[in-house]
Amino acid sequence: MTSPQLVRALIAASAAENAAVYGYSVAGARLTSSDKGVARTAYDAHRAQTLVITQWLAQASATPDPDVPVYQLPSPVTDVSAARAVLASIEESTAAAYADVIAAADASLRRDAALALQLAAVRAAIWRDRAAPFPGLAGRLGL
Amino acid sequence: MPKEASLTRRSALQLLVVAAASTVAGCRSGKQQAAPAAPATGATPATRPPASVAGPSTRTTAPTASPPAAPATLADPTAQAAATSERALVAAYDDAIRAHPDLATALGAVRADHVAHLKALNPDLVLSRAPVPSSTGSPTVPASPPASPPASPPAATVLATLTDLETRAAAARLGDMATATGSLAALLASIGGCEAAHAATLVTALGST
Repeated sequence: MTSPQLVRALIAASAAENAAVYGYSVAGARLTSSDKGVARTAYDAHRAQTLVITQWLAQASATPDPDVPVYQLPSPVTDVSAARAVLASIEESTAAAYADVIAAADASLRRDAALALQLAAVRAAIWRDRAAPFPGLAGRLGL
Repeated sequence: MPKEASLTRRSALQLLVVAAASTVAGCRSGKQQAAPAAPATGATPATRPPASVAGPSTRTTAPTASPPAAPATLADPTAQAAATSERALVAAYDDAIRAHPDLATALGAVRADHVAHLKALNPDLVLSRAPVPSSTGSPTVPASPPASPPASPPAATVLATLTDLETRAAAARLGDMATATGSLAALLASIGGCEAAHAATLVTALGST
């Protein structure tokens, strides 16, 4: 019933959300005080989303990778602007993971994942000070 | 399972999606490093979409699934409806730029995103250029009454209207998930993500100008 493609996408999305939780916990410390509030909300959202994806995986009769991955930040967090760049990158990675879920999912899961993609895109735009034209598909559209 | 096997590939519309594996099989590992390419460079004669996102690939985790190949968007009614929505947004930004030339640069960048969306949905499309906000230049649209043009709404009102349009468009793209499948669904979801981001940032980005 559940396609292997969807299971792989869900597992990747779970990893992306866990990486986001880690990334916010590290990069958040470098932010200005006003941005820290935004980051705290985003951190909570990503944590909640890890649970949501665990449910999706259960519905797909799959389980996340039991190995605890070692997360790496996409770039060093040396100052405020580096922290914002890292968080923008993390959000783009999260959006990309949801794009893959959407491509493989059925209608109801597509909608939920699309909403998650939108939220990631909004957060990425906040950190980047600019909306991306194709969040989640950056570098993957040949136009 | 994906039904995209029958979809045609259009030269200007290829969801490369790295390993471009519409048939799924055998591409489990090929996309650990995504090759970043600026979206839509060179493909839009009217405006050049910003490539701010297509920086170095710095994802912490690479998705393992690959959205399938190019959607046959022209033949898909959901894509057609989305293209209509994008066209209306472009027109709304044209109106806003005419009314507020001082916002032309910032609004033009947002407009370019929608032009890129339109091109992704309809690669054969040729759009006119964004209006040139020059007090002396002639606009590319039907001329406004010469003597006293109607008073433009204040910038804050224009931005609020655009924000509302973006919010509605993002919601419509969520609605598209009921019917669109595969890589077309991913494309429409991404477009909706851009529109949600516009809605969230338009006022904060431009409200102070």
